Amino acid sequence: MKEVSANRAWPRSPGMARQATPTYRAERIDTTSKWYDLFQKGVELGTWNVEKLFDEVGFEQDRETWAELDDDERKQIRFLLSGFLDGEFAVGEDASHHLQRIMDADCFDDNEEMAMYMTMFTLTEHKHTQFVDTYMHEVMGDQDMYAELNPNRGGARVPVVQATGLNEIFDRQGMLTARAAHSEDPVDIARALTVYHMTVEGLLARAGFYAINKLSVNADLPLLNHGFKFISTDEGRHITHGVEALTQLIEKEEAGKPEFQGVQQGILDELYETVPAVADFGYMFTDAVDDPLEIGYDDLILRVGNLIDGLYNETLGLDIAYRDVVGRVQDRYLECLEMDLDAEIEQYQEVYQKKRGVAADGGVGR
Amino acid sequence: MTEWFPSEQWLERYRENLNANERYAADSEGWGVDFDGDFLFVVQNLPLEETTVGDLPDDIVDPLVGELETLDDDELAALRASATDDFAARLDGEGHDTFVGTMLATPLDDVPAEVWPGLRAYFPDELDDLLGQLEAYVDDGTAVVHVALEDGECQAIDLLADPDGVETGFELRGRYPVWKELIEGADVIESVMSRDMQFDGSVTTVLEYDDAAAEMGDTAGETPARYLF
Amino acid sequence: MTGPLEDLKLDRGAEYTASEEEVEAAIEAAAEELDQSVEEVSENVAYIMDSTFDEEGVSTSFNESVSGASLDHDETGTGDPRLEALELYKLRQRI
Repeated sequence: MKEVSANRAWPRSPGMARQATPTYRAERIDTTSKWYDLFQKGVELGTWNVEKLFDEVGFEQDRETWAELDDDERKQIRFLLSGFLDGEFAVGEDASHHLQRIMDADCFDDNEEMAMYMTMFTLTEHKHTQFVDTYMHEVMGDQDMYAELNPNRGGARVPVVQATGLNEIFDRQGMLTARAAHSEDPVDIARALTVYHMTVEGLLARAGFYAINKLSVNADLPLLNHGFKFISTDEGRHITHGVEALTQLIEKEEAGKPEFQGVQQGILDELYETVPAVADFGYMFTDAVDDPLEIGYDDLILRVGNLIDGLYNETLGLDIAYRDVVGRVQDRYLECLEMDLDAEIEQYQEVYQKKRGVAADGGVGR
Repeated sequence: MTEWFPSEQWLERYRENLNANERYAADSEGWGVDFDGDFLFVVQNLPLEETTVGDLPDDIVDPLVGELETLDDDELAALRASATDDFAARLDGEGHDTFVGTMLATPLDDVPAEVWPGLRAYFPDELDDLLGQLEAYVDDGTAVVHVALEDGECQAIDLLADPDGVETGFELRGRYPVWKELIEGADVIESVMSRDMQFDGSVTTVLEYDDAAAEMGDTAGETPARYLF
Repeated sequence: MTGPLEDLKLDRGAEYTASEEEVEAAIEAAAEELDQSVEEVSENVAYIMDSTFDEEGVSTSFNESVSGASLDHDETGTGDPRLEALELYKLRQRI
C-alpha cells in the first residue's frame, strides 16, 4: 500500500464553477456548472458527423497509402487500431451502462449537469467506435473480427488485444465501473473513474494519439489523421470531466468527510495497478512488429511519463512514486518482449474458431 | 578536501568515488557493451551573467581582495593605467576601495574581456584556475560534460571545450539549479518525467539499469561540494 | 491578439510555431467564412485546445492530437496548435 502524501503539489480552488457570466439561466439546471459547459460544448463541437467526415475527406488517399504499405507496416497499423477498436467498444459499453448511473451518486454535487453531460459523453464514445470500426473495414479491407461472438461487447476481443494482455485493463474497467454503479461508494467511484478516465483515456488513448500523429511521418493517411483529431478533441473533454469529478472527491476527502476517506489512496492504487497496460499497448504497435513505421516505444514512454506527471501530480495534486510507476511499466514491457505474440494470437484465433463451431451447431461439440 | 562545484576537480573526484562504488559496478555490469553507453550531461543557464566576482564564496575572493588592498599607490596607478576600456569606464573614482569594488562588481561572464593580464596576475591560483575553466568550457551559459561509461566502470569524465558534433548514446539536459537538485538527492526519473530535464536515448535501456542510475545519483550526493553559485 | 486565446499557454503541449499575426488573420478569415464573430471562433478554438477553463490560462493540454506535444510530430497538420484547432473547427462546421 503506497503512502499518500499530504503534501498536495498544486492547490486548487474549491469548486470548479465557471467564473464568467453564463449566457442563459435556467430553473433547475445550474448553467454556471462546468458540466453544463461540457454538455453545451459537446453539443456544439462533439456532434461531428462521422459519415460526413468520410464524405468530406474521402477514403481515396488512405486506401492508396494502405495499398502501398508492406505487410509488416499494415500489421502495425492494424494492431494500433485494434487496440482502439476494443477500447472504444469497452468505454462505450461502460459509459452507457455504468458511468451514467455513477453520475447520479449522492457523493457528487452537480448530478443534474453531470448526467446531462454523460449523454454527450456516451454519444461521442459510440461515435469513436463508429469511426474506427468503419475505417478499419473500408480502408483495411475485410477482416474476420469474430463479430458474432459475444455480441454484448460488439464481438469478441480482437485476438492481438487478448494476446498482449491489454484486454485486462478493459475487463478491470468493466468490473470497477459496474461495482461503483452498484455501491455508489466514493472510493469505489474514485477507483472506477481512475481506470476509465486517467488510465484508459488519459494514458492509453493519448499514447495511441501520439502514435497516430507520428504515423503521419511515414504513412500519409489523412482521413485517419483527421478522424483521430476529432476523437482526441472529444477525449480532451472526457478527461476534463474525469479530472473534475475526481477533484471533487479528493476535496471532500480533504474536508474530512468520513465516507470519502481513502479516495486518494484508491486513485493511487489504481494507477499502480493499471499503469502496466501502457506497456501492453505500446509494445503491441511498436516492438511487437519491429516498428517499421518508426513510432518509437522509447519516445512513447517518455511522452507517457510526462502525461502521468501532468495528470497525477500537477492536475490532481497527488504525490506519486515515479520510480515505482515507471518500474511497473518497464517490468511489463520486458515481459512483453519475451512473448511469442504471433503464437499467442494464433491460439486465440483457434479458440474463437472453436467457439464459432459450438455456436453454429447449437452447442453440440464436434 | 571538498572541491568547488562546478569544476573539473569535482568531476574527477566524482569519477573516483563512482569507480570505488561496488554496488554501482555490480549494477552497471553490461552497460555500454553492445551499445554506446556514454552520456553527455548538458548544464544550461549557468548564472555567469548575474554572478559577479564578488558574489563568489569568500574563501576564493578574500585572497584577491587582500592582494589588491595592499598594493602601494604606484602599483595601483600602474594597474589603473593599463586597464581595459570597459573596466576603466566602470571605475567611478580614485583609491583602493573603488578599484577593488569595481573588480568585485565584474560579472563572471565579462571577466575574459574586461580583466587584463596585468590584473589577472594578482589573482590567486585557485580563482584563476576556476575562471579559466569557466572561460574554456562555458558557452552562452552552457557547459557540456562527456561521461564515458562501460561495463561497470566510469572511464572518463571530461568537460568539453568544443562539444559541437560530439555524439553519444545518451544525453541529459537541464538548467544548473536542477543539476544541483540532482546532486542533493532529487530523482532523475522524476526530473525527466516532470520535464525539468530533457532526455535523449533509449529510456528502456536506462530503466533496465535503474539501480545503476540511482547509484550514480547517490555517489554524486556523497561527493562533497562547495558551490560556486 | 485579444480574447480567449490571448493568455492561453499550453503546459506540456505543442509548440506555438505560428506568429500571433498569422493566427489572428486565420481566425478573422474563418469568422468571415463561417459567418460568426471573431470572439465566438476564438472561444471555440481555445476550448478545443483546452477544455479545462483554467483561470490562470495554463493548460496541461488534454487534447493530445491537436494541442498536445504529439502535434510536434504530425506531418499532416498545420504545426501550430491554435491553427490546428481552428482547422478542426472549420472542418467540424462543414460536417
